[in-house]
Amino acid sequence: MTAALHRLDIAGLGARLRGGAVGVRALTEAMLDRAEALNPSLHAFVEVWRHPALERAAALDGAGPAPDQPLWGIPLAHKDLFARAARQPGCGVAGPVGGAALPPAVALARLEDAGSVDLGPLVLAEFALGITGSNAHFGDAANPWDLTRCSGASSSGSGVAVAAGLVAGSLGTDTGASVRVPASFCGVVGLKPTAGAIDGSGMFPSSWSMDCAGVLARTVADAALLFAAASARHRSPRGGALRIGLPTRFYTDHAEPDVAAAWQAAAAVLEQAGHSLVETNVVERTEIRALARIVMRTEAAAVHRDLMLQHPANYPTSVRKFVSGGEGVLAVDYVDALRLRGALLREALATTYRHVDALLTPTVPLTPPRYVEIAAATDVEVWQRVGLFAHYTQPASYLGLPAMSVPFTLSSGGLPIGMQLIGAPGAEEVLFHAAAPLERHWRGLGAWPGGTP
Amino acid sequence: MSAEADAIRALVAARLASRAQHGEDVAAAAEEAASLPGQLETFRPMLSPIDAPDGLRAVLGQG
Repeated sequence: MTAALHRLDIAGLGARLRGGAVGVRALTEAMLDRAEALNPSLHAFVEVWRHPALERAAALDGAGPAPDQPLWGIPLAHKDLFARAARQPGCGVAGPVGGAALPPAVALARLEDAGSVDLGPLVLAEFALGITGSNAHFGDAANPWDLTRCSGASSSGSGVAVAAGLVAGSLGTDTGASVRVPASFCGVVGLKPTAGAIDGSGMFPSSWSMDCAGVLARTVADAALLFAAASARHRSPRGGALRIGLPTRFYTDHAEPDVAAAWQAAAAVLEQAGHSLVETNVVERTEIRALARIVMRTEAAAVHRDLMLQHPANYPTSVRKFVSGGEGVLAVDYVDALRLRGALLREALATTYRHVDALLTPTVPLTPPRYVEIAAATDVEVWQRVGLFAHYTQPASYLGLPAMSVPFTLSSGGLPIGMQLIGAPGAEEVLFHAAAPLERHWRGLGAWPGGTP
Repeated sequence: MSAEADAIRALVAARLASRAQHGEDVAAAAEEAASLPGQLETFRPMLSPIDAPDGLRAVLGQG
């Protein structure tokens, strides 16, 4: 009976737990066994917390299910960027991080209060400053669909662990791509909510202005449930026909043919579901990415310049490249990049989001490349190609808008392709509703990652 | 603009000098920093003198 538990969504697991078909301890043990068996090849967990997880599971079994615990007994694990009461985040590096202690993360505490079981901290790009899934300290996070390929990052362990069925969901962070790109590459759902919707206290900073906690799960309903728990919000599900915007520029630039075809197919699926398609102009253009980079580079340089001197071994070349450009940003340019966030958001709300409920775009222009391709390329080639990973996701982070990646189809090479839905501030429920037909299409494929049956 | 870019490259090189022995790619960092201000100009005309750095939060709060 437990053989397929790892494939169930939170609703399915919850029904079995509350119905007594399986105990919390038995479920936790099964998931821990799977995590320990697969982690040596996946590099998703920093460490698997067998004994603490089993103790927690036994306590939950003893107390029994509570009505106010929607995640009672559900196995989760989270990006190692959040502080716990007894443990500071490892931030994806093997040595001491340094710096002052963070307070316990409110979002983690809320997920625990909701009854979840934490199986252990998950791998990420060092300090959440990377996008491929590589990690010099814990090994490259392997994409469950093809273990040789990039998982996407920086919430790499979250994407891998959820896709491979090691956990049912995960709390991650997204500063420009870090929930949505691994979600797209690994074939799971990833929500970056409206800026500030999930309390970010206790989260090690990458860029204070743009950091945003988000969630990854295998279904849209699970992502909605995790978001509600992490943000302490009551849900008001949205229904009815929506106006889906198809951007007339920017969001298909650089798209591989399979990705562009998937986007068109996704639009057709939404139209067939009763939503109307609206071609729409957008404020986004290529240069908006420079605005985001000015903010991110400057703030990352401020976080890390002393830490890099104190703990140089924590910083591989890829991370240094990310941080060090910020050393040369002029103060007035940094302030203007911050000021333009409000100005551009006002413009987007007055134009695009007056006419549409959500934008439909691909999540990533590319399907996940092999790590060896990245390693073998020249610096310029790598940065040109890897830089494209965040091309479609970075603007929503800069503008503070909610955005979600939902798996839609497989490429001709059998790799997941995710679609991104972007909404107006506070429109997470619109995104969940819009995603439903896309998710049905994905589930209709019956696909599961071949690297982790 | 070229003189400004050259000045930024020199500034980055000077600031990263203390980290050079740790494999810092000074040239790449300098190039990145020098490339950013020009792209900012595309949007700068949208700004009003009274726009504040925390304007995003204010707009989000109205949503």
